[in-house]
Amino acid sequence: MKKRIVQLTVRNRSGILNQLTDTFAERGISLDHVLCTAVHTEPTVVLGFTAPDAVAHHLCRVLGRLPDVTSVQEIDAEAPTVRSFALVALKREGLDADLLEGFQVIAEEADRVIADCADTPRGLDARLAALEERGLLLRAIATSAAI
Amino acid sequence: MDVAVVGAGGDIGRQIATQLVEEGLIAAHDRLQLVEAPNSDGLNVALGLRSDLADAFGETLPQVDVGAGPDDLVADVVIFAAGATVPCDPAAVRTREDLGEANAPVFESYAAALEKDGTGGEIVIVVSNPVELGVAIFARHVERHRVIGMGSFLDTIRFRNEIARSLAVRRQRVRGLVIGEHGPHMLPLWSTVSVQGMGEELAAQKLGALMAEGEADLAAELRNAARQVAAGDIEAAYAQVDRLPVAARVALRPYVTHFTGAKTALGTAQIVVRLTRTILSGNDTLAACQMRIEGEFLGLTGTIGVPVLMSNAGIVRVEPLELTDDETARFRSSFAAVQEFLARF
Repeated sequence: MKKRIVQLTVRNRSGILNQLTDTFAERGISLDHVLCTAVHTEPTVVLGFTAPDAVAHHLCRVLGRLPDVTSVQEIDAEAPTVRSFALVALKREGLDADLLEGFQVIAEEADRVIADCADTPRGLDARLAALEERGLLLRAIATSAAI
Repeated sequence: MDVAVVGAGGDIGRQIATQLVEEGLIAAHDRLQLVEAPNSDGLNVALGLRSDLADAFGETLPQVDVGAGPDDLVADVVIFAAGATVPCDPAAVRTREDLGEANAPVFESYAAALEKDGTGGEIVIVVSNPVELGVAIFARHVERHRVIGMGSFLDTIRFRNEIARSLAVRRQRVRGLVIGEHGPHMLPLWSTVSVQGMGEELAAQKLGALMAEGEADLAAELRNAARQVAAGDIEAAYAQVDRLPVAARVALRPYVTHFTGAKTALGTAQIVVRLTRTILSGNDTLAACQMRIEGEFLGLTGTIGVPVLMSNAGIVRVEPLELTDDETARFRSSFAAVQEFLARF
């Protein structure tokens, strides 16, 4: 089964986390990761979990019907490029080396991403920024991958 | 579990939604979805119903979500009560074929949406008529054991009710099943009937007398009842029904109630809610319902009302029943009539 990352834009109201976690608990799906943050000042919750395709699709549709959820975006956390960018973001923040252990393949791909962008110093920033613009929470993805 | 009522703006859908909440069948952390056609009067009613439910049951109300059309449908249990129905005006004739023509595309659109976006674990309860057509269409898209037509379940309750009325006992003392078509070819199984607390000998004697009442010309009796309702003589219409044999009363009394304008929303909804409770409770229950069978009952393949064991996974299995020779012949006849009807769509 695949690891999933779902990014939700929500209304900042009491009980919203309860609504979200109940949706998973009711179906016996354990959350690997919960991050409450803001993207472009929008209250945002990022959830990591593991589920088959059909169940994940169903959960996303249910989450999208909750009254305080305004958008749902599933992020393919296992796509090598996404993960490598996530790792790049963490490396640039001075990631704890222990967290990188066991992720050699991604780390190598991350190095390639950095190398690809070496000729254009602003290239990497631009690509990271582009992903941020799309609402990808790189730290969440990388942390979830590490879990 | 999340429950969706498709057709929630209609008379029966509204009652179903209300009774599901009133009876506390949907937990506060679960979701009740009210689904109606986009840009329809029904959708407006569903939005109003959500507000009204909050007024009535604010202390215990689950999340109520209003969905517009098949693409919005998402739930574990889908109660399908959408589509055209028989008009209350007895003069405005609408045949089963008319209903089939009107409702087949509606069944198809929601069934296809469930196949596309569902988990494959949804349970569909078909309330809309012709119920066999709804079941047949949904079973092309959803695993057949998860598609339950509530026609025979409803007929069974009504059958028990008519026997109870005749014997002057409470309905809960009567057992017995109705299978076959949810319509003129329904088959009350007298061989399954028993009455608790009456003693075998007396019960057999009284049931024998009821069986000996024979049958009635349903079409003619329906026309008579419709005429009486149209003339405003409702009591005469019911009195006429009361004089009919049990099986005919099962078929005709709901029509009279419908023609009066009261419709049968309350009773139908209550019985749908009972069926839903069975599913949500996780208890295995013997019942009769429409399903697509594939050789499990008399070796037949098609859609028809049969006895089943039901659980929270839908239909566990078709239950074998020892039918009399007469019941077997009549079931085969009912089956043939239903399949001939379904072949037109």
